[in-house]
Amino acid sequence: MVPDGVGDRRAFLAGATGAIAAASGCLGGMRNLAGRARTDQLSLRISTVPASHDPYAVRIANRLAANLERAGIAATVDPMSPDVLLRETLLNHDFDLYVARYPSRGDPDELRSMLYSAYGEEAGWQNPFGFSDLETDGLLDEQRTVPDSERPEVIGELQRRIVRHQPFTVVGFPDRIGAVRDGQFEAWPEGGLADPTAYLRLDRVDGKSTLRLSLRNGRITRNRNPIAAEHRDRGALTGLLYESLLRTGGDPADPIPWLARRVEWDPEGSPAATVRLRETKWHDGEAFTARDVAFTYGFLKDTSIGGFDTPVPTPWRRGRLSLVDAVDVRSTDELRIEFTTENRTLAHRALSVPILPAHVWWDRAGSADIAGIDLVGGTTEALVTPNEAAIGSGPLRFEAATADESLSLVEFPEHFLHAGDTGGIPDRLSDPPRFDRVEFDVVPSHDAAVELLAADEVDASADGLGASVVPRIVRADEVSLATDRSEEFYHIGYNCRRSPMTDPRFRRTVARHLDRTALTDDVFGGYGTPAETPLGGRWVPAELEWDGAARLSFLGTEGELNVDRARETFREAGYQYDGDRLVRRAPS
Amino acid sequence: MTFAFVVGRVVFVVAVAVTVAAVTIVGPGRLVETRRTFRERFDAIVPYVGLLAVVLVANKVARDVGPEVSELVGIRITGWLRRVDGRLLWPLYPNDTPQVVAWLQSMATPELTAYFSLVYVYGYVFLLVFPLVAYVSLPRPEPIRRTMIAYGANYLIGVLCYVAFVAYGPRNLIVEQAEGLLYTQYTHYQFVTNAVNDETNVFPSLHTSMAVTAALLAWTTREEYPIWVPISAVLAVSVVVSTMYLGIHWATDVLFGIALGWVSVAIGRRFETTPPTVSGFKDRLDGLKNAIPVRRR
Repeated sequence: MVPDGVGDRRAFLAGATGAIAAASGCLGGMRNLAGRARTDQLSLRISTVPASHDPYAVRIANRLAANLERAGIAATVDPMSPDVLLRETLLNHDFDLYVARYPSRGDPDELRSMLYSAYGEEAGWQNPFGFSDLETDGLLDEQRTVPDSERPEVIGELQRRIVRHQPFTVVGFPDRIGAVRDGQFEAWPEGGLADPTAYLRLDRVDGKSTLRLSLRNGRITRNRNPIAAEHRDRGALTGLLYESLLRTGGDPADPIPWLARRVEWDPEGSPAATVRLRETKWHDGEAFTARDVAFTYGFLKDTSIGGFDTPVPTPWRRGRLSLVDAVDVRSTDELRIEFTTENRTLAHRALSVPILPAHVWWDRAGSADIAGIDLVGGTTEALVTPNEAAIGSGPLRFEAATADESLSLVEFPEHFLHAGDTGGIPDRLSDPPRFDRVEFDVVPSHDAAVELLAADEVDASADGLGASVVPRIVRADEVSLATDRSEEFYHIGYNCRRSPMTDPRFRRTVARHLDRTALTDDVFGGYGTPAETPLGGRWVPAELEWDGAARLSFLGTEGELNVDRARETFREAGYQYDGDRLVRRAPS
Repeated sequence: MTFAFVVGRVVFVVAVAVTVAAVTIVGPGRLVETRRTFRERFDAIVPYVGLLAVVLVANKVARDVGPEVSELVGIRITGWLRRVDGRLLWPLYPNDTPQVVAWLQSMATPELTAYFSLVYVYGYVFLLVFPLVAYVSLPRPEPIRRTMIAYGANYLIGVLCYVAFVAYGPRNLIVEQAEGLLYTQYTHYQFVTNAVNDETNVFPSLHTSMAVTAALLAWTTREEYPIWVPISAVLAVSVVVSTMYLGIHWATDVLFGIALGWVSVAIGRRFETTPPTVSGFKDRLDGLKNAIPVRRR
């Protein structure tokens, strides 16, 4: 019966009230019980990219999920395309755990971008974990102020702290596996075309003038914005179009003067330098001047150019910008730059951000909107523009692209390399490119990349390949394998804003569900090295060097998890079990 | 070049197969008759051809725009598909239930891989194209109309699902257990499959639904083409198994694909005498409105 009309409704309400009143005797006890939150099994989502994009990440995620599952946590691997993963983790901070490759270049100052507390609220490549720790912040600042000789010690302490607190868990360093075709081009660098300078080092054998490359990640065909966080990681391809004052090819202490003809340091102790620029042009024919450089440093610090209440800094290369204090234009080809650090190696880092043409980007400081409606707030046009025309100053110019299919870059004859203005640039880089166009062909998988190589449809793979295609590379005629150690590492990222990832004990226990030795053997196919720290070489304190076992050791043997030990470790960390499920109070 | 070559070969092989099948199954008599009365037959199916064209264009747009929209609004269900798939074989293996795809691949041999790869590419295209030729050659227009409506319904519903759900196939997730056999063994086909579909368009399996549709349609024309019933059934089952065997689809995609195929044929039969029109749709909507009692003052 449905009460109809006012009178009926009153009668119904009166009846209901009476019934509740009659039952109120047992209500007190019920409230005590029902008022307590239920316990539910802890479930975690592990975000990663599908195997066709990254065959390693999904395997690491699967292993971790399987082991956590056995320890009583409902863990689900959630594959998503690379730009969605970057958007969810870097911009929206919407994740529990993720597995990805960090595009490191082995510079300790990168850790500041990764972990500095003040970056936790920002959207971009800086502190996606939302990690905050005063001691870590102190060390991150200290490594910028101490002399070079004392830096390894500070960095060592920092790495110890990272291992202890586990804002992220390092899994290992995979080798960069490149595949190149012999015959048409030579002087292929080890590891293939890992960064922009590698393209310039190529030598051509015969009269061929088109360099044909396969490309697995086609984001550059859709988006050529050099500062769009969800589309850039290393910026290897945008680095062909956009250049910086210095290029650090190899040794960061000895960078190559690029757009800067010369960098003259003020006498010892004063953190400032006078920068003389080379004479070159933007791809649209406008002259490159000191004004562009000053604009870029100001713009990347606040892409709204003072238009918003809160500055909107670049979400990519943010850490480097914080090394610059002030930029003054002296003349059209001379600037004075003051740094926040006296350490010149670090200052070099600040001089290697992409320089943008002021006349193009000035108009992108406005609020980003869709059909006139500002949906997101606090976002400038500069961060979301696909930047299709990609007006840069590089030796190659954008010509055409078909989304997710192909990209053509052509030689830019007005580049300074053609004018012979090459003072300070090492010989093998100082010639103009040996090809007059580069054709990128987007391929659906690493297998497909090797297929095109074997069929002589491409000369090399532009991005690194997975170990599973190594046998195919070796089998193919006239195709060689080019491998190299890499500074990029796989890691598990924790969203430290979300419980229970807020708890370092929890993160430390999760880290102990990974057997790095087994992972590097099975996942990297032997092409890689296990590690527990994000930086290798001289930055690793002796006790953290990889010796076959992690400091936070695996809770099992030879890849096989010891379930009882895993549960015991979670219990010791304060977590509770109901049967074989790790349970937590359900949030009400 | 690889792409054009592979497409050319598929077109050639299917053309030969359809020709052979047309001569043997349809028979020269029917073909000659079709040639003679082509105009009348064409007139009888014109509204349906238009409809199919609209659907295909909409589908093309949806496949280009769809993945982008889907990335923003779609629900990511890969984890669920994996979970459900991991339970399906429970009656057979109550203790350590394997993933359906891993279980199928545990029986893999090079010959089987070759067979299923060929079926997935050539067999599938043949299975879809031949009915169009066969049914145009029938004097009554219902079978060909039914076929076009059913194909269109498959595409339309399939594409809507692809926008609503973002899912990756087994080859992209459970890589330790399942291999993307087609793409690791016969990589060149990937250039074609990649051009016609996005890798997130997994749920439901359109390969399955279309193959099932073709087989069910074959049953509706068993009087005219009795021999096509077993042939299409064998091909359809092979296509369905191949989607899982090759690590492209989850068993759950396939189950929903079968359901979609069945629904599409039902829709085809419903509209085989009168084509669905906008005004017809409005009438039905009005009818629906009238069916709901509304109190008027």
